[in-house]
Amino acid sequence: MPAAKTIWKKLIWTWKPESEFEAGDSIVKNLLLHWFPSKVTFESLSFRYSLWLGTGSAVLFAILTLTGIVLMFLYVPSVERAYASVKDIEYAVAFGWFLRGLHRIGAHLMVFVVFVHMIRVFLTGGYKNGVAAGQNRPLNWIIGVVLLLSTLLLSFTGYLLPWDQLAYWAITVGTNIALAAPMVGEQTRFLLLGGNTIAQGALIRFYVLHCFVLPTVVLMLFAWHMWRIRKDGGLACVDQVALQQKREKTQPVKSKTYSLLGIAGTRTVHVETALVDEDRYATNSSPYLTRRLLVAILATAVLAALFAIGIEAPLEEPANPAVTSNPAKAPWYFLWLQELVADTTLRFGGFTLNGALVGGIIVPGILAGLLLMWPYLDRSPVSATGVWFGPERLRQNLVFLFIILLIVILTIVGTFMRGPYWVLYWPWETWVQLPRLF
Amino acid sequence: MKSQNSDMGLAYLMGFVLLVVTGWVYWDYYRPEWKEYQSEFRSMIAERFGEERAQQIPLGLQQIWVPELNRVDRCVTCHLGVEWEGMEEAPNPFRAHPSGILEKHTLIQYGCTVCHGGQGFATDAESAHATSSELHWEDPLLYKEIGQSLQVNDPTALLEIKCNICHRYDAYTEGAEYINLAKEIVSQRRCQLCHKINGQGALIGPDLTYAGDLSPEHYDYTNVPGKEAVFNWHLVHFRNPKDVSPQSVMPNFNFGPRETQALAMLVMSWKRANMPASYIPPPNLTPPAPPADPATEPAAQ
Amino acid sequence: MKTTNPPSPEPGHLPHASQVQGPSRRTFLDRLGLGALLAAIGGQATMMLRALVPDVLYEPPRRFKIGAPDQFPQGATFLESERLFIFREQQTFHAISAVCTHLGCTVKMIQLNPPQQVEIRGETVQEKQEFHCPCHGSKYYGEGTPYAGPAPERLAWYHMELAADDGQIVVNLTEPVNQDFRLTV
Repeated sequence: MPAAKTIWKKLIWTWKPESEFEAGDSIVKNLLLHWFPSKVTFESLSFRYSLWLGTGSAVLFAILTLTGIVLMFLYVPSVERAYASVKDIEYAVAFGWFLRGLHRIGAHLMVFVVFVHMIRVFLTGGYKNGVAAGQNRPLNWIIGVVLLLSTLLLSFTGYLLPWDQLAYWAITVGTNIALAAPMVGEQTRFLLLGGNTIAQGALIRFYVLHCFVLPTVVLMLFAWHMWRIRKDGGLACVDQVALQQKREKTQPVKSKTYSLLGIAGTRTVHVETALVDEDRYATNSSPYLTRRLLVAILATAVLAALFAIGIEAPLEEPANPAVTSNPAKAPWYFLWLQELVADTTLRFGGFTLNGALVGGIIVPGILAGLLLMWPYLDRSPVSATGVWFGPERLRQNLVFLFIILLIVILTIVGTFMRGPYWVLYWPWETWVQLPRLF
Repeated sequence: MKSQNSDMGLAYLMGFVLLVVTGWVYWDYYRPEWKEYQSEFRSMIAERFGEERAQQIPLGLQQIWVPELNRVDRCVTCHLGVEWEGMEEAPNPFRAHPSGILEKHTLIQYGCTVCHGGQGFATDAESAHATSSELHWEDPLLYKEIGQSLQVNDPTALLEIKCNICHRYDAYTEGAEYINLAKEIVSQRRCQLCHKINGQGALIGPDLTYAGDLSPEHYDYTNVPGKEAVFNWHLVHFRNPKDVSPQSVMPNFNFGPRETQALAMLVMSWKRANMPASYIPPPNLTPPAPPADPATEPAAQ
Repeated sequence: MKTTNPPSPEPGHLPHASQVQGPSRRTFLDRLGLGALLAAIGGQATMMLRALVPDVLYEPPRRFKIGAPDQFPQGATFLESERLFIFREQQTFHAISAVCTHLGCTVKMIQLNPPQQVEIRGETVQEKQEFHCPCHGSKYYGEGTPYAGPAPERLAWYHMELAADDGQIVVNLTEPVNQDFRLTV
């Protein structure tokens, strides 16, 4: 044992290990660090592979939880008082505008980051299994898709809470699209709203879903998502590293470090080395993973804070069922669907094709179904796992990107180019002014 | 020896940026607009009335909460001279409120916005006065700025619209000159021959009992020049009904600018008053003897 | 973000920052950076907690105007919603709380006709009224000192002054005073 430690050293040695022994030991001696493998590949650590988007999503979720808790002390979920409580947060609560702004922009950022994370995982074939036995990355992909849907639902339920015109009519549009679902549409809407209209029942249901139910679901799925990564041997790029190692023949080296890949490959310690844990390919999680995590956390926090200061959180007139917003728009992440709904309402002779069914149920249903099923439909070889634009997956990547592009274009049109009366405005045209009282 | 990776350096850089951002937010909290007004007012009072009286001026956010009206008004954070005797000539926001009306409508019982309009929640002048449509507040402060954008005869009289929301059953309300004029015209011209007013009248024209509650999108502005505003619509309509709706059978009464403003104000004041019965005054049905003033007599029909 | 990958550590020993470059400058920057980081995090955390300390209260104010001095008759006036007794003797005023110091009920004022002689703290005083609490039977002399029942303390007296702006009497419930206090107008 080294010489007697100072108090400071005793507290922080797991974060600043000073020997190989301490680095490995810290993972099993620290509650937060036991989350991580003791060694992590350079490829996994790199920014260029994963863009650290998964971490970004998690950090945003943490920011949303913290700001959300503070806001829960200040916001009142009753139709008579909700709007006034949000006004008070904006004007009369110390730093209220900033916390609300951070919460709102964090929410939008999280939807965006989770979406881009999904794109990254698809493009790198991260949903595919690799060389080790017992992997189940397709399962983790499904967990991820459910996390994406939960994120969208979290944002949607939160959108209603200010109880202003923006909130009221966005949720009207959203829940009416759900109405178009065959057989279950009406019942779903009825249960979601706690009635037929958007009133106190809807507000309190959305509030409980938003503050308790959905965050719990996300937390549990997140834990499972992380656990699956450990069980799968790490990020998909690790399998690439393992494949590369198989091509190189190395001297047998005695090592006490076991890797899942080594054991799962039914090799003894002496035949091939600790494989991926070799110094060439990996390093200690403490402190190198932790440091990079710190950078990712701070970068996300700084980005969110700057956005929150630069972009004001909107609050329109108090919700008024008698006066419809013009235009009445769903939240931006559903605007591609609303645009589809508007564009797929077609009339042939006496027959009308219900756009809400096509754009609101069928198209997203098919896309979600394909998304969930794709890992099982994918026939590409293992060499395409954990690589950006692996040549064997070129075609599916291109089709995927094309669909994403369509979604992005529809979202841009719906957000920036649809003005009052859903008229199409080019970016240089000014929107018509709506009449006022004075 | 390969240099250490620059992660910690990057982390410290981010930490520094976050510190600057946090610092900015703190600075913004500790230097709001109203603090300047409060210190200016303090020095003003200290100069005129002495340091001791200046010490009594409350600092920080002030609000008047009127639970019966479900309103909270923070106007008095900047409008500190509202009840100060001697500040009647001071520049706004320090000017004292005319005392006569304040005695009948105390600050504690009424607040400010129920009469003046504006956004009581707000703590900066622009948001509180809520003149701009960007603010999404449909109840702007009824004063010069709004009046000038509407090109009315007398912008400062717009305030009377709100008087009439409670005082609508008065034949005559002291201090509401334009509203009184409008009510006189309504009874002289017998608008109830075609319109329902206060629940009584014919149905040849629309029911005007709650005309002030009608949403702006229900009006047709094609023949209304300038701002698309309900008030403007009424001004043009009273000037000559057929200018706005060519098929209208409403006669042209040749109202002058004073009458059109008065009538537009009256119609916009006909709203559902959502307040407790104790706030609705008993109607004053006795008008004073009207002064014979040929200048305001409209042309004989 | 382009960063170099962490170096391969030699078994048993990780390099210290101080061994890589000039020791004092590097550690000074490290300390500065760490300080900035901790200050930033501390600032954010403080913001979140500070937001929970209300800046405005939806409550009746604790310091309020009760009217012009001439509005008050000689003798006692009971302000029901403020739970205060205002006493006027010629041009002097004082305010006594009507909140019983036992468990907070509103005490009743009992007029003593004819006035009685009582001894309070060694002095003999003529009392015109006293206070009785209906809840548990506490009784107080006219200046608030309890003499019967469970009340542990005298009724509170509060500071009064004239408002600087319009001359109304202002009572300040955040500033209790002793029984010698009088406001003379």
